[in-house]
Amino acid sequence: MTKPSDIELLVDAIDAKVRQELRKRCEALKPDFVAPEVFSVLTALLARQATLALEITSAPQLWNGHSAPLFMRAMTDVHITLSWILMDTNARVQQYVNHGLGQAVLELERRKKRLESMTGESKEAAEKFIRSLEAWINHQKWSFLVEINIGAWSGKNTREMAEEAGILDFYNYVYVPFSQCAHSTWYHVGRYNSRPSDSPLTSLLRIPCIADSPGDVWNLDLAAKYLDKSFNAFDEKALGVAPSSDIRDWIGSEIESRFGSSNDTKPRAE
Amino acid sequence: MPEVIWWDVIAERGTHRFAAKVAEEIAAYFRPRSVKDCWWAFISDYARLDDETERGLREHLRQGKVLNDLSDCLLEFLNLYPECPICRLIERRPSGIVDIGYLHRFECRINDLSDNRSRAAVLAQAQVVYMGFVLDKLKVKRGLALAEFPEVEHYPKTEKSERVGASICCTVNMAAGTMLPKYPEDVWVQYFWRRSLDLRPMNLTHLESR
Repeated sequence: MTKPSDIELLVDAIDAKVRQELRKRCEALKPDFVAPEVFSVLTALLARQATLALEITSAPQLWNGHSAPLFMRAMTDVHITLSWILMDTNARVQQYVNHGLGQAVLELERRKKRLESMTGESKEAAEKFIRSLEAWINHQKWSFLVEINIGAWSGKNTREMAEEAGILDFYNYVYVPFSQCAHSTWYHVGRYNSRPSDSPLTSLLRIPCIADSPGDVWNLDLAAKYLDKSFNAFDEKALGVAPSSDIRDWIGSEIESRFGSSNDTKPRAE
Repeated sequence: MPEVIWWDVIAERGTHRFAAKVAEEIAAYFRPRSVKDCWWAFISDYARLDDETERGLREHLRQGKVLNDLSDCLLEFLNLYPECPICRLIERRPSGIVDIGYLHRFECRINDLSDNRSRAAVLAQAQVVYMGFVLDKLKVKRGLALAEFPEVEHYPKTEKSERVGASICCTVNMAAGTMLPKYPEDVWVQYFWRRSLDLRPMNLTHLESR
């Protein structure tokens, strides 16, 4: 068995820290059975944010301009969703759950329809999936009572949600730039998958490429920053305590102590 | 589910036949004392008993020779939930001492009852409908699935029993909608979930393991 690398040891330490901070917060939130969805949704969103942070952390080869923004965009989305829900928690968790169940019912009906043209083992597998999805829905609400809303779950777009939550800057400077990568707009593709032609004779054309995008530990810093934001919003609005998440600083000091600041051995993605 | 759980507790510790006998005795007591929108089938119904009615009901159950067995069936459950309104039906006060073995068994039952269409859940709900029948408050037209109520005994083995089971679930939903407080105001149900969390605190240690 090979000895874990310094980066692997750092990743393991971050994993343990994030999980510990997540657990601490989830345990601090006392469930209210008048609105049990509040506990379920808020802790699940927090766990989702931690998951995204841990997934990107555990894959240093993805700390580059092609892949990291996909995670960052998902993390900004979670943060805006969480921040908006926390402004009117009881009503909005219901909206959030109902929309999710509606999406599940929609998929269920589509799969049932497709079942009609299936045979053999693939039909059996599809039936099994349908039964399990139906049970997941029915455990929360009878599927035939679920309303299907094909619009945005909140009835607003992400910009409006961010504006109402008082984090419009976050939307403008973080969500929108990362969305370019997530949606593969020309703004992203034109820089990462296209470059000027090699010859002036074909300079009107740009040629496709897979741009070199070296891994950068800055992406780890960003993931920690967004996780801190969500943990802090949860501290303040859900737990009613002062924000106390320090994962970003903690990672900074871990890097400092493990790799030192006097040399150039800062971790780079391999 | 928490509103009908006592029927499952009785059937599990006793028998379904005994649960039916309890329903008949309770109905016999309340038939001349008709209360609007109440079939005495849900646990919350017993929160409204005044002291005199409570004593009268217990006496009636004693004379009907069901009180002792009913107490035996319910005591462990009531020890888990000592503030349950059903405590008023029995003479022994629950000690509140939790029997871990029973708690584990009870948890398994709850798991089963969580599926409204499981045999256990349908039979517990059937008790509500049966109370409606024996109280003379529920009438069913011939030809409807519910008119073949006894077939529920075979649920879910026969097609007919599945139809009866489905109509029982619908009837109970309707009855609960009109007879019970709304979920956030249902004192018993709120207590049930809070107390359940006390009995089995959530274990979030898994969040820290990979």
